[in-house]
Amino acid sequence: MKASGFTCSVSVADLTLVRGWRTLVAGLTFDVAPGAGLALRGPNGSGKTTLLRALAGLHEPRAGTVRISGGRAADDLGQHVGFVSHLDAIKPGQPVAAQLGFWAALAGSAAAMPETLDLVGLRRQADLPGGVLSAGQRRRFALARLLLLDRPVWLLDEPAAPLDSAGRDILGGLLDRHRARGGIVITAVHDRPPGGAMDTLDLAAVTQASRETAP
Amino acid sequence: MIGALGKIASREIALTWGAGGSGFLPAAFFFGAVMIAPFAVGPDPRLLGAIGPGYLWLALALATLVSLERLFQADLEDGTLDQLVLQPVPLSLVVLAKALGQWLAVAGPILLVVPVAAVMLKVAPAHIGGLLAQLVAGSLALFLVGTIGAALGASVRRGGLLVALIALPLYAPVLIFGAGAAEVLVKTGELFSQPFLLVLALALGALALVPLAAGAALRLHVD
Repeated sequence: MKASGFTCSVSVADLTLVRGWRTLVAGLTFDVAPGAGLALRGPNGSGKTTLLRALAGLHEPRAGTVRISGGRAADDLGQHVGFVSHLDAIKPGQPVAAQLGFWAALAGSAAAMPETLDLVGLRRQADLPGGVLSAGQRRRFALARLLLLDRPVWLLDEPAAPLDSAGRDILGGLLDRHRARGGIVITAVHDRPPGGAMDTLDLAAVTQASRETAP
Repeated sequence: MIGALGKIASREIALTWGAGGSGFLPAAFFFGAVMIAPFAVGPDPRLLGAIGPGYLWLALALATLVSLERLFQADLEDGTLDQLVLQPVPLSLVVLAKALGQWLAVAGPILLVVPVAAVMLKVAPAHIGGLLAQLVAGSLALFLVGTIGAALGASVRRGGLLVALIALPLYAPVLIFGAGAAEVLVKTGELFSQPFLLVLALALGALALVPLAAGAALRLHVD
């Protein structure tokens, strides 16, 4: 794993996100500096996941821009982000180590595999097929992939939800370490965000405000 | 970049042949389709010999449809496609790598069965090698063309039939020239006949254009 720091910052300008006929977020503007964390709050269906997908470049915003400066242009967003969604991208039939090895090989970080498995506490499960992992272990797998990809901007969709208390401590430690390196953490949360304190963005309030100012 | 494509393709092969995969199913389907041919058209060797080469093309086309449904659907459902989109490899090349991996994993066993199937259909032994060569090129063209259907139908639950319905009309040119090439081969012994050259052209054209089309279709599903 590279020890070098990150210098990317995320800036979102006038972002409007639409799903079907429903406007989830309108005119959203915020910046996240290197080393900062941002916790996204809001009730279910308020657009947290869609916002994360837009930040990753997976969802096309109706209007506005997402820029990761210190990096490349908007259409290269994906190369700067590591994304932990509610889908863990695990195949049931293949051993854990082989699957993680694939992502590590793509990122050129295969050497960091043993250390990463230890970090997330999956060393003993390395040879098990992905299908037998529990929900918490699947999330640990996703965190291991996040570490192996080693991207500056981490987008996490309720990362702590399936984790036990030890897993949440691990997650908190990982986020703190990432931010200490200058990395950015943007995470959807329902309770206390893991790791050190971070700013909060309440999507319900943003949507409310945009509705009140709309003509 | 090339290294990444190789990794994606070899992962596809490993997943198809690993536990829970279904690598041998299309080959078994192909063999089964050939096995029932004499029951349907009668066991007359002359008749079988006359329709044999064309029937192999038909069985090949149907067998390729067996595995197409899951080509992108599984990755879309479990979030793998999201992660692949975030890699520094263009989606069209990811599509190409996956399609080629799937082709090697699935068409390989089918093509291994072809000589036996050809004997069962009374194809003259002298022509089996040439026929196999034509089917190799044809299977690549069919797989790539079918990839478009797989990409378009990826987000449809139980979309196998839909994928087949999209792919079958696109199969028509490959089948027309493929069966034509097989006929020329059996009648005159000429391998690189005009229809076969057109099959090769279709395979190369698909190699260039299908990744772009299927990549664009997958983009829509990821959004």
